[in-house]
Amino acid sequence: MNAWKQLAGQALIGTQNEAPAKPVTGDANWDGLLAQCVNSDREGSLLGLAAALQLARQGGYKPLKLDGIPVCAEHEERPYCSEAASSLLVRMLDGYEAESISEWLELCQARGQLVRPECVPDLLNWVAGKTASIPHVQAVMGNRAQWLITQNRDWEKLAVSASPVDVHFDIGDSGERLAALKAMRQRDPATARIRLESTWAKESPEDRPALLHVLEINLGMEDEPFLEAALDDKRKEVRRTAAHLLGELPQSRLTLRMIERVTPLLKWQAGGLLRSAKLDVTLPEACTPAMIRDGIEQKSTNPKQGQRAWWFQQMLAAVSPAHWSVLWKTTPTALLNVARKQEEVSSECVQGLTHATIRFSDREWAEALVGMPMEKGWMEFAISPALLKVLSAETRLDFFIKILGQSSVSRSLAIIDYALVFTPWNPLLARTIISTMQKQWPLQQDWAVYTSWLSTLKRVARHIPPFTAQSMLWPQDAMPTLKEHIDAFLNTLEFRQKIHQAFATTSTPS
Amino acid sequence: MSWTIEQALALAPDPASAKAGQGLSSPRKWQSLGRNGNAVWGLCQGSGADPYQARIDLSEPAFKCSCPSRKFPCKHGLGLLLIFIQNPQAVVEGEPPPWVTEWMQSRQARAEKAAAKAEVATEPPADPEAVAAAAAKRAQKREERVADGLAEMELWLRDTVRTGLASAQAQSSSFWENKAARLVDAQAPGVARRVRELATLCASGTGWQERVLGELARLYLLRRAAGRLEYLPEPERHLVRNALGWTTKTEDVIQSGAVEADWFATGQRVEEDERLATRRTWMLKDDGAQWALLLQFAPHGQPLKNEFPAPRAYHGALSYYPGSLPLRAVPSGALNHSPLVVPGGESISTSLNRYAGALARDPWLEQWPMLLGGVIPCQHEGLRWLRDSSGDAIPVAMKHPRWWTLLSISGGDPVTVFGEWTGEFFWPLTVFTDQQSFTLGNG
Repeated sequence: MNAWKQLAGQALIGTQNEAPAKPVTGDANWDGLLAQCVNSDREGSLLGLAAALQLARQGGYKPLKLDGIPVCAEHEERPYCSEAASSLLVRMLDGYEAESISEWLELCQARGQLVRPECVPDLLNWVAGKTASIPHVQAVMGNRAQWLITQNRDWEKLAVSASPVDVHFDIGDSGERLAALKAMRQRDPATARIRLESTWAKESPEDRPALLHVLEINLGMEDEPFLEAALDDKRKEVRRTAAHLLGELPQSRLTLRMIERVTPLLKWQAGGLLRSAKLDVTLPEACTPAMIRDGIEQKSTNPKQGQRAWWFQQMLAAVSPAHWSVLWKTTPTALLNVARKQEEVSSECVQGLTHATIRFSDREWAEALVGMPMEKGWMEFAISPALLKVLSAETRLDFFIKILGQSSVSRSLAIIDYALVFTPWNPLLARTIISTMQKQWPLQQDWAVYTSWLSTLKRVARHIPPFTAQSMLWPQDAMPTLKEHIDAFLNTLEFRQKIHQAFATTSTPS
Repeated sequence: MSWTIEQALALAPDPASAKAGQGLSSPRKWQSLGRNGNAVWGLCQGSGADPYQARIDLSEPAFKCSCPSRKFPCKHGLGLLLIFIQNPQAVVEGEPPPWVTEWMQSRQARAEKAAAKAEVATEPPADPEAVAAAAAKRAQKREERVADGLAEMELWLRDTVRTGLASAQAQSSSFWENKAARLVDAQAPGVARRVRELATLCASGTGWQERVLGELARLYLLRRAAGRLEYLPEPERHLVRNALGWTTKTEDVIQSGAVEADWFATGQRVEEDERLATRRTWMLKDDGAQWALLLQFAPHGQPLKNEFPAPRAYHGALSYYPGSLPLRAVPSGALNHSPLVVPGGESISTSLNRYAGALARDPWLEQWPMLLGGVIPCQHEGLRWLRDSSGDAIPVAMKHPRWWTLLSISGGDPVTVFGEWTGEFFWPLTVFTDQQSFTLGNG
């Protein structure tokens, strides 16, 4: 209504300069009525006119005509999660037991179900700042969520994009190009390497290490020539990455050179009836430029370690451990037992073999390593999550149960921390961990142990199979602060049980 | 009575209480739990020596707990209610302990006393003439104050349009706050509230001058109407006095006759300022045309009880406040839950016609309820709309916090949406799909 806008314009500058005009709306009756509002009282006229026009404007509100019917979301192919599951998600998104959202998402995905529409916006807002969780959220979003995402620019990055990958590698910024190369490498390793080779000369020194590192995905001997060439790169990080990747290829020239270098340094004497096996080690004399080119670091980070022993350890770490057990026709365990008793450089031998086991993911060697008798200091340098990862899930569970049974109280917390990396646990391990935690009660006087005990308890609550710890007995006479933490533990457990129960029941079709 | 977890959590005075209440929603936290037909009770060990005694009268529900918390209901009450909903088998049917029966009896006694008092109040007071004279004197005094306050308001209204809205916009918010305070002193709180809003309107972005002029014009209209009160018919006089801030006693309203029907509580909205929290509950009569508005107030920082959760159907009698537009009402007796029947909505043009009719009876109307059927929420040229099957569309307030939820629930398919229309924007409060309803609440 123009008359109204005109009047608002007049009001903006004020009546002191100009008297309000009689408005013209084009409707004679209406104009006649409005004219009655105008008299010599300028302010009264303006306010009276405004009241009349304002009411007419609101009372006669004309809706907009939208001709096209909006595009609706496509029908869902998967069912929605149950209402019970959804209501738990709502509570977590509101902040209650929010740390269990990831578990909820995993269960939902495992059941092939979808988040209900009413939760989608809150879930998208929740995940917007959590890059690691984005794929888990995407996995439980149906067509409707995709439809919604396209309408809100804030959520653009959460869309499951088809494959704009190749385009991005040519035009994107560093992060986008890296992501594109990774995706390409997953799909088609050879093409990805050829694309990288084609742009390699133009890549900046800053981008090169990360780009080269992408070749770790689906690494193969086809990559070897390119990587070998990269050993001569100007930038140290690039050379190091290339050496590391070549070291993972048993047939690479680098690996063969390493074997050639180490073999003369080791002398194995097989055991017999009356004598035990023996391993003689000669340390390398110098760190040659060729060794440095192959990734050997000159200086050890450990100031107590001799330089030559340090070079030796790195060289040993670069050769597949199976090479030795095959060469000397012995078992990993037998070899390790000898290496441990080696006089001068037993620590370097074991560490070198351990790193080699991790690098070549040798399961048999890993089992031998964790099967060694536990001695003082052993844990610190031999057992690491990286080594435990090489084990089969079953061996790993057995290892945890065994070692928890043997360990001192203070060390067992560290072991539980490792176990937290490898879930799910079987019921036996879950019970062992709980009983280990319970045994530690008396230690609550020691503040440092107490706080790490609490933080372990918190994480155990989120990772323990939720139905295994139901019958746990906690001391009733615990001090109140401790009781609070145990209550929180049991609360988390109960909430997780509810989540599992909600997904155990049948879902409603969408 | 059946409650959902969501409804129970909605009773929490704040999010922290909701969280704490959920923390106590496990039977493990309770030493004992019991119930009978009317009440639920439990003992919960807190930091004190004795366990806290929490009890709920299920008829309202009303809460009572022996803990020192000033929150209402406290976390124990909420936890107890949540257990009752989620884990009824954990709450043993039995004889209530004395601390429950005593409380229930005292509640009963209080209710009877209140009823008796209401009856006593209808009897003539000791010295009716003296009391009436004093009351008349007070009323006369207030009339004079209001008249003075309005006269002062007219002066600055005129000043504002004389010097122009541009200079009014440049004023700080205390400029309007001071003017509102003068009107509070003049005992015209209804006008004061509108004046306070002007500060917000001045800062409301594109089109602000139209919104400010509209509000100034309404104030001017109110001032003029107040000056001619004796010439107005009875209903209009009530309307104007109500807009100025006179209140009608609830007892007087209840006496004025009631409408007994099935009422569907379609939606609720809570608005808060520094002084007061107000909950509006909109009720639609079973004829699908007549609306009633129930208001609840609580001073800032104090819990606002939700007596009539929505969406939900009730049966009972509502009495309308006098006025030319019957809208605000109070229950004249108990409202009982009635089976939920999702009402059908109306087209946008029908709803706008109803709004025009209402506006003709109350030019100071601020929100009008609309139950829109078969509308699709959609975005068009950067704005948000509800579009009905005829292609008519009305804009949704851009600052509505649950727009994306509404969009997601609809998925581009028609839904029924309840909300408030201000004459400029629609504020969705409840959405109904074929299977479910969702509140798009603002807490």
